[in-house]
Amino acid sequence: MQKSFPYTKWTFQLGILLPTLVIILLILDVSLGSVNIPLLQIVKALLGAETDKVSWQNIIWEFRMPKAFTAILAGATLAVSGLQMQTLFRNPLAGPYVLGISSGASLGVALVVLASYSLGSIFNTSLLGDWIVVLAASTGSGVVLMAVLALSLKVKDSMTLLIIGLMFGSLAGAIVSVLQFFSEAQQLQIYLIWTFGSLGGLDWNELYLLAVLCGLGLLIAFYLSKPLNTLLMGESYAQSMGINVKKVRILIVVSTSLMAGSVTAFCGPIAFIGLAVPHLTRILFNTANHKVLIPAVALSGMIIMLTCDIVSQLPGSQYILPINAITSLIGAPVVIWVILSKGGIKTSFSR
Amino acid sequence: MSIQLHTKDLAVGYRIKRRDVLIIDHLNVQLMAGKLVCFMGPNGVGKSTLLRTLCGVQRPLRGGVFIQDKAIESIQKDVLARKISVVLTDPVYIGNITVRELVSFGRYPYTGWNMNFSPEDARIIDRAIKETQLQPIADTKLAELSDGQRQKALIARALCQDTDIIILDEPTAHLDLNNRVEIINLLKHLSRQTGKAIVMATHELDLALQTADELWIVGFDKKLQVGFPEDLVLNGKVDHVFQLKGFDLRTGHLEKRKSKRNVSLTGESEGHYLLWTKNALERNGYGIDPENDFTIETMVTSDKAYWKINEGVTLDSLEKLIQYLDQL
Repeated sequence: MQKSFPYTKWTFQLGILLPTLVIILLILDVSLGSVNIPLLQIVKALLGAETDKVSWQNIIWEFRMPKAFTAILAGATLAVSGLQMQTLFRNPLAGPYVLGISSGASLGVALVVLASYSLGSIFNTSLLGDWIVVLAASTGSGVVLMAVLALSLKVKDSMTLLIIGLMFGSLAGAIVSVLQFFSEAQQLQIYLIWTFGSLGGLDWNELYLLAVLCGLGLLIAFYLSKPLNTLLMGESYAQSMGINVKKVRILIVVSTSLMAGSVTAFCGPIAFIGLAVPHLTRILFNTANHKVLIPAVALSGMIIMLTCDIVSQLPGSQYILPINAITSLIGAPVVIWVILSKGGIKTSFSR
Repeated sequence: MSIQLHTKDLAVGYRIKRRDVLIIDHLNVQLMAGKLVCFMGPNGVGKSTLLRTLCGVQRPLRGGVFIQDKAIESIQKDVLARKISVVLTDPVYIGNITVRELVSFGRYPYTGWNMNFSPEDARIIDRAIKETQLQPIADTKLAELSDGQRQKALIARALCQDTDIIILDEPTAHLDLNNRVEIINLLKHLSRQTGKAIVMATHELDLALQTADELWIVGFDKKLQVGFPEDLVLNGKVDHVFQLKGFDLRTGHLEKRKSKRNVSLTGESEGHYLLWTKNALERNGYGIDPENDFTIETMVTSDKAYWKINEGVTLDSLEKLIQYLDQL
């Protein structure tokens, strides 16, 4: 008899391998960039020791570490949000943005950037620009989420919620298109750059705020592992096992909003992670049990996001490619390869 | 025998735009511990709606459902989950968890948020797997199971919830005869051994008549007939509800066609040879008349059966017998 289920030997091995990989990739991510810093100095800096050059310490602690930590937070939370949405809607195509979070954020940013001719100059010159964009994005996603949340109190089943989320997305997209049509090239560029996504824009203060919001969302997700497992069987079964489905649905929306909403506000929309990482993790761990999946998906999200960040800064060059493109560019072929070679994603959602 | 669940003048149905759609009215039924109830009725008559109301998922239009004398709506959801478990018709689309994991979901009403199982929980999980004879596939993924095994796993999950009442909505649908018999026998056995009150909606009239302690029958007149299975057959209630066309349940035969020929059956052999000979003859349009001169004698030796016609021709299978008769 297998007493330790749902944990298998393989789960324990991965439980050591994945965190190790996160640490290795973190060090690698911090060591790469336009300025070449020796690995030994990197490790020294990370351990809090003095580096040979003070500027190195500065670069590592003020630029590279915040960026790497942002990658870790964004990877973990987007992936866990995606997992929650896929389970709630029992749909393999669901992701963190199905509730209209990114559409709301885009609309907020578009309204501020595109609709305000006079503000154009502020964005190029001052730091204020960053904060205005963050504020616009979070207000936008916040408004959409409040609407979705209010509706989730009323709707009877999750599928209705899914359709409403998609409709909000279309609506926001349409308004953004109209705004784009009437705006100047310079404003369009600011908006477009935001949609590329960026992990590098955060200072430590912003990072603390992001960490608190993401941490809260992750805690709720962990707390929801049991209801999520029962939801795999459908809402009626979940209810028959004593789960308050309505309450759980609201908690899932709150948790996803905190995580995906705050990441989108600070980093822009980041595609792909939320959709693909849960599938890759299910195949890797060969389970649908959320007791295993939630920590596993969080770790896998970190790994993939750090990898994407490493690739995006093109070793040895000055340029940082848009993270939103990189995630799909290297992610999509990997997912196609994995699902073709490992027998598909459908075992989690069908018989 | 204690009453686990009863209803008081219950009316079930649903509400569309403030208009009540009544499905079954004036329900006063009881579920007794240790009894297996089969709940039958044509498709679309509201069996699932009644079962959903009984387990508290749906609100009644009028009247009430009482679990051990407590009104169901006054019971907390997590407490109710320790009183009633269900097997639904909803498809379960999870492939990559093991049978044991699925069964262990049944313990969730008894565990905290992080789903740690006590030794007691582990024992109950093992027992549920054993009672449903799933041990050989306990660590197999659901995706690799047959329909019958999957259904048994769902029943094991309900068992593992360790409730006094189990409600099953068509647990034998889409299964072959072997699996149907196995599952119904399993439920019968469980009600006897564990004293659980079990209600099962089913379309298997023949199996229900052989196993149920009580039948609930509902037709399109929105009235539920409750009774001892054989009584309901003999007083015609079953026929009335099912409007079995061309089938006489009391005799167990399809409506008599005009006989091609009447024959008399003789033979001292064991009962079931006579029974199946009779079946073959009747199915092919031959009437049985003990007074008739045309005789068919059934003879059984240690390992073979023979049929002798009018003290003359002897045939060694029923197929040949019918072919021979058809050529006369």
